[in-house]
Amino acid sequence: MTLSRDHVLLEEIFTNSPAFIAVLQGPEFVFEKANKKYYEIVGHRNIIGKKLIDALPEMKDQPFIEILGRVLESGLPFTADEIPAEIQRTPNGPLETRYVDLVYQRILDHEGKPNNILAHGVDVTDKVLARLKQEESDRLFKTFADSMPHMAFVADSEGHITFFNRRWYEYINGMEGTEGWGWKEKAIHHPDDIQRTIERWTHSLKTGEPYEIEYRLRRHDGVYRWHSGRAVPIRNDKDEITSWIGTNTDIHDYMVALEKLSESESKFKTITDAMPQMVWSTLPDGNHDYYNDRWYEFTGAPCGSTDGEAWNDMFHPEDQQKAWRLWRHSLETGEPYKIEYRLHYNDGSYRWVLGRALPIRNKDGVIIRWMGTCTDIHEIKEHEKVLKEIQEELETSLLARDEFLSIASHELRTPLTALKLQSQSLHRKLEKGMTQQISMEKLKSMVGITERQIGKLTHLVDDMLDLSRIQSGKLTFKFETADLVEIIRDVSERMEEQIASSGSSLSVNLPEKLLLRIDRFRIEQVIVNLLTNAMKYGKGTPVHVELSQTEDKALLSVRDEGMGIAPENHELIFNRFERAVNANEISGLGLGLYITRQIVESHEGRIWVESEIGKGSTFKVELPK
Amino acid sequence: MLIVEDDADIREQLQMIIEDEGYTVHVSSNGLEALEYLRSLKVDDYPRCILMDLMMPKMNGAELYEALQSDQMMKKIPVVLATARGEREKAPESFPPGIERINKPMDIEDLIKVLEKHCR
Repeated sequence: MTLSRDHVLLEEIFTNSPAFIAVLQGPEFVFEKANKKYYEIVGHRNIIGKKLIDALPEMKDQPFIEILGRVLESGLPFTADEIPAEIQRTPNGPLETRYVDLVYQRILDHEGKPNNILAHGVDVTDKVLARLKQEESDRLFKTFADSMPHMAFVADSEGHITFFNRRWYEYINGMEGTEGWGWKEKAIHHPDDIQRTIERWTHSLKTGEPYEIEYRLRRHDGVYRWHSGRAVPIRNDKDEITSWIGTNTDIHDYMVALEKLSESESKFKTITDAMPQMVWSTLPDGNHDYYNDRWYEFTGAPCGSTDGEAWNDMFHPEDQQKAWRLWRHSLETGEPYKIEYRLHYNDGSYRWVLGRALPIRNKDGVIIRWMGTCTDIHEIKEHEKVLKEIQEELETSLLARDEFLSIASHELRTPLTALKLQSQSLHRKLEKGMTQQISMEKLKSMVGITERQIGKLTHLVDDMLDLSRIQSGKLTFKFETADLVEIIRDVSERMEEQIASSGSSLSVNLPEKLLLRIDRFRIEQVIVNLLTNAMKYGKGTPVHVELSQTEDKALLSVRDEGMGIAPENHELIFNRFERAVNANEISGLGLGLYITRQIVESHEGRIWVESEIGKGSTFKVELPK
Repeated sequence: MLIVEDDADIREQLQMIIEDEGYTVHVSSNGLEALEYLRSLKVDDYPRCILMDLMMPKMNGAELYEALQSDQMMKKIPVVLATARGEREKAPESFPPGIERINKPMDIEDLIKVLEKHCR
């Protein structure tokens, strides 16, 4: 009973063992017994009582039968791990490779003789296949990693580098000393970048966020090159990070170019901002994309507000259309742009500006951009205007000078002619011994002529001298307190005869006394000039002289009843060489009123005329007391 | 002879000198006066020659010359211009280029030559 229960138990264990078990009997290896797992592995074939070679004919060319023979003969057990066996597990099916951990061992048969073999083992096919697959995958990864141009690495979940691809070794030149080499212990990062790198890497390790950074890595020759480092985490099915895969891409040339570009851009900006001119650029379609600081400073427009086509609003409304037309023309034809226009200035005014632009072409001749400048030419424009005015003034005064010279020459020649004739006729009479025939009356007349003509000459020369003194600012005055009434009386008495001979009469209306601080000689000159004019232009009409005074002023007026002066000439007549009437009609240099005004103004007084054509003229002189 | 001159002193002197030389002379102070005088004369009484200044009030030398040329009879009277040297270039186009001139300031000898040429 006990035996029987043990037997059942053993039988149970044998049958349900997780290992496959079979017992082979004798040198022919006849299957005596096999458990469930064994049937499973061989495909549930009917094997009991059959020779191995018949039960599993595919074993014919495999090493198992030979091995069994050796074990049976020697009694030494055979063990092997992961040994492949080709098994036909389905009738007429293909051979299937199963990996097994296998033990053959000799055991005693029923008769106690060592004729049997116990074959047992475990099917490890799934395990082996998984491992092989892993190995292949590893190989694939390594090949892939080694073939890529980047420096690739794998790190464990704590950030320790477990793999570097070939590029790394090439970069640091050789495999030696790479043990434990990594981002921390034996960093090849630029000293300035290492701290930043550690912080960034630690951050990614902690949070699982992708790692991205730009840093310099030391090459085998000691040169640091810029790299872009990136790494992403690999997670298992529980979403835990098991490792990181990363790459380093050499971006050195790009970074250097970028740096150069930004350097040249900053150089360009520095230059353009330092220029006194406004500088701008546009895309080929004419849209503005750059202005230097000076533009914004000049126009007062907020930064960026004139981009695109908004610049036109900065122009004077009258210049906008013209600028548009010329600019469009340049854009269409590629011809240089050049224009003068008024540009809005930051104080709200408009200033004249010279605008120019040239197209920049690529090597194929295609316009890739327009570069332009605006130059403030306001001052130049203003100067041009002033210059033009001065030129016109100069031309006018040159004409006036020519006219003056011609008049002066005529005026000077008249007394010279008279004097010359006088002396020549006397000379002739002397030669002919005819002096006795000159009557007393004739002699008187001759002397009169001489005196008058000398007076005329003196007056002309004085006027010209005065003109030259005024022009060189050398007209000097000797101020003294004098009685203006007395001066007027003196002059009128002196000129009475002359006035009478011109057919005029003189009426004088004066206060008793009027003391002023004046240059006596010059004020006399003023009165003589005014009286002479009244006589000349009054043409025989009465001349009235009046002197009145207020608290602080003396007012002298000299009135004739002659031809009068048109209103447009009231101011003109006080200019140099000017007269209201044709030079042919009245003799004289046309300097009288000019000199008179200079004298009056030097006394801080003023002179003006009140007159109408045909109604005579009144010249008024106001002098401060 | 007719003398047209705007300066009274010169007129007086010229008149004296010419009369001293034994010629008869009439003086006018401007072109208009001269023209009026000529118009008052019969053609037979026209002066043998006219000596005229250029710059004169009312009617200047050029205007007078033009007026003379527009009259069939008066245009035959010889005209002598008294011109200053500076005025020569400026002498108006209304005079023919070859017109007789005497310089101002006037020389008695020149004056007498003109008299002898036209009035003898």
